[in-house]
Amino acid sequence: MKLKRMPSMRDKKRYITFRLHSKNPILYSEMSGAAMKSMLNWMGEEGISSARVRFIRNLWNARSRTGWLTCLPAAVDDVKTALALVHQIGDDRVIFQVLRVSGTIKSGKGKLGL
Amino acid sequence: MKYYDYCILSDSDAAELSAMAAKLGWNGICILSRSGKTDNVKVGGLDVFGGLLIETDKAAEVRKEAMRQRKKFHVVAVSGSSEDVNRAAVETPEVDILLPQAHTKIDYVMAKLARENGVSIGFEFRLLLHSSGRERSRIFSAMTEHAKLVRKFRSPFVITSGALSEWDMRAPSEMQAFGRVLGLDPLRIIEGVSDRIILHNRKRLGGKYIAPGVEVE
Repeated sequence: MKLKRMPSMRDKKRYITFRLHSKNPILYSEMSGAAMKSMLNWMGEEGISSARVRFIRNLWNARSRTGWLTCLPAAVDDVKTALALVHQIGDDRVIFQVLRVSGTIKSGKGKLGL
Repeated sequence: MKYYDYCILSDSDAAELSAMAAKLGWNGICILSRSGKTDNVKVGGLDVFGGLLIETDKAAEVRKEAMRQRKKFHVVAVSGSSEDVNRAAVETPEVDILLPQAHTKIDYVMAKLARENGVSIGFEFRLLLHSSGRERSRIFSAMTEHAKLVRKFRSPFVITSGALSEWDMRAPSEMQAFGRVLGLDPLRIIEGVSDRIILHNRKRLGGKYIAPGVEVE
């Protein structure tokens, strides 16, 4: 049986689209691991759980190095700051650049022209 | 709105820095150095200019150096290595930006003086980027204290990467998010990454400017 929430009790979400700048290709697992570690350091376990942070694996584009994650609207600034604090993955220097914050995946893709 | 990062402290090649800045969405960057480069170039639509960074332990030297070099540079910044240096910087209208270092503090008197003399208080993201654990929490705590004073006394401020290389640079939207996390006034955050300082200084160094409100036509 699938448990459901009343529609009026569902949390609002924000979709954050980001681009990873690096000299060498980066695997999805490395990218998400580094980002999660930074968020744990910055926001803490309680902060991450209350922000409902989740990476969307099937929207990761290894070629353009763009990806998506979701969080609650109140946590967007903390998540952006935590992503900005990632400066190295393995031996590679990296930069996470937030491209867009949107309410739905469709509107985010539309505005980015993806 | 044009976005400017005023405190790039890198000795790297200006071409690499400007390429990364353009990718991240900046419209202009200021490369600070002790000697100061005065060349004002446009690299692929990006406004790149040099600024002077005054690094000294003596408060008396801040005023002397700022007055001596003011007309040569578009941006004059002071690295606040002690409370005395911070105080001297905010008392000098020739200084554009005060960058308080991790171990120094500013108080409400300095915040008021900064507003009166138009000296922007700098918030460097690099200090957090290159620290971790207890040290990072201590630096962030000092920054939130500064942000509280800046907000209360409406002092001017800049949010900057303070990058030592092109990989330390961050996009304008991340800098604004960082400002909101610090507790700066959300309505004024955009001023912290805007072209306010460079527009004012270009006008001031243009030759027609005499004093605030007095210009030659």
